[in-house]
Amino acid sequence: MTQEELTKTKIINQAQELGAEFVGFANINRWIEADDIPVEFHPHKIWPQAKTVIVLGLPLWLPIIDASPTVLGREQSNVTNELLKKVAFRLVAFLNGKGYQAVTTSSAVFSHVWAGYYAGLGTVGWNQTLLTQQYGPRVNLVSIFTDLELSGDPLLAENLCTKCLYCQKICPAQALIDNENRKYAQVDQQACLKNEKRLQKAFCDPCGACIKVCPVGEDRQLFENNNFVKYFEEQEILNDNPHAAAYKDWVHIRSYGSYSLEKNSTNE
Amino acid sequence: MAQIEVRLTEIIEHAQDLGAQFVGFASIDRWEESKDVPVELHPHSIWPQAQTVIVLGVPACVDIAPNRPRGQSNVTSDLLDQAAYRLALFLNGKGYPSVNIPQDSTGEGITEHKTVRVFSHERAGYYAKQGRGYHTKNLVTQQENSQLALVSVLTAFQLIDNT
Repeated sequence: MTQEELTKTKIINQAQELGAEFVGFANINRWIEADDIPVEFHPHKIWPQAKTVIVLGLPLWLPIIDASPTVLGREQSNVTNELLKKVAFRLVAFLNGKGYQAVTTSSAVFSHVWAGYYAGLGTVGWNQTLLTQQYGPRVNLVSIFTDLELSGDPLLAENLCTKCLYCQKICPAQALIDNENRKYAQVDQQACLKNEKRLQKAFCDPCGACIKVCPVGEDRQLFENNNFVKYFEEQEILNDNPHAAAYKDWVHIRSYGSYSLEKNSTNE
Repeated sequence: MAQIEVRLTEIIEHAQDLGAQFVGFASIDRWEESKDVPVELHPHSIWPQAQTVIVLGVPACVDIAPNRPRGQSNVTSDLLDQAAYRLALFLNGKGYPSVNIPQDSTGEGITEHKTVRVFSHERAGYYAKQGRGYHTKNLVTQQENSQLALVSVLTAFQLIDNT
């Protein structure tokens, strides 16, 4: 198949037309130069033809995550993930049609968060989520490997994470462990997964606690939500009064479509 | 995220480009005035910034609706959910806070919850079809016996008569 010349602008236009909000490019050298993650997780170790990683992202709406865990949050996550998968598949088909090899990849073997950072979409937060200027960590991501060699987008100069540790404080699984010798939290994957399974049983996964509480993101102004005390006082206030006016929207959303949650043994 | 002026016709065209065949608008006042829905199911009870509900619809064939094959149901749900999400994305990008409520917000597999939803798209569609002088593009319900599958976007975008 003959190769047609493709620019980043053409690819961005195509991806956005298909529905992507964020589109970033990272040359595979970024992984080699930075040495942040083990070599076996570098793109060209997973797929040797890879020269560039294209990262696509879609935001999640703060008011829905705020009420989490809920069935609405689960549906929102499903809708964005399905859309991302379709956009990625169709962008791969577009690249293949122009004569370039391209494949999508799974988060099981590849970190979309680090790819997003190397593609200039944001910075890696203390809790190892990608923080974007517009939506903080409230973004779902997918990555495409291609043999089309393109220049990488500039990295964000400023680290967006303020290390406020709200994510650690609110985590229902206590899965984010601060280690002074490390730049990022040590994530207790087992504790996090155990909590996810508890939520899955009740049809109200994903948890969303560490991303809803993050103060980074212009969406906090858009959705007029900078009341962080509300997150931390919730349990105490609702224990005293399950119908407290300040939480009536969250309580209403939670009361539909999901089973009651089993007690979280991590907190016992 | 500065606010950029958006006209109602722009929203209608955008929704149609995304696949919606019915695009209707209902001010949140409709819920308050009619008093036929419990207050906790009103759009601004779910999300206080809501001013307007935009309802998107695609046809659902009436013959098979009572026992709709799962495949077709998934196709319409996916189309509507993605159109609603992308319309919310468009409005948020223009500085109008917006949140789409997915079509099936009842909990997959929880049959006992299927009759009650966190928000009724059908009720929103009913208010939107009444129109109240706002633009309502209705391509399908003009046909007798036709039914629509519906989905809603709650938005801070306010309807005014000259938009």
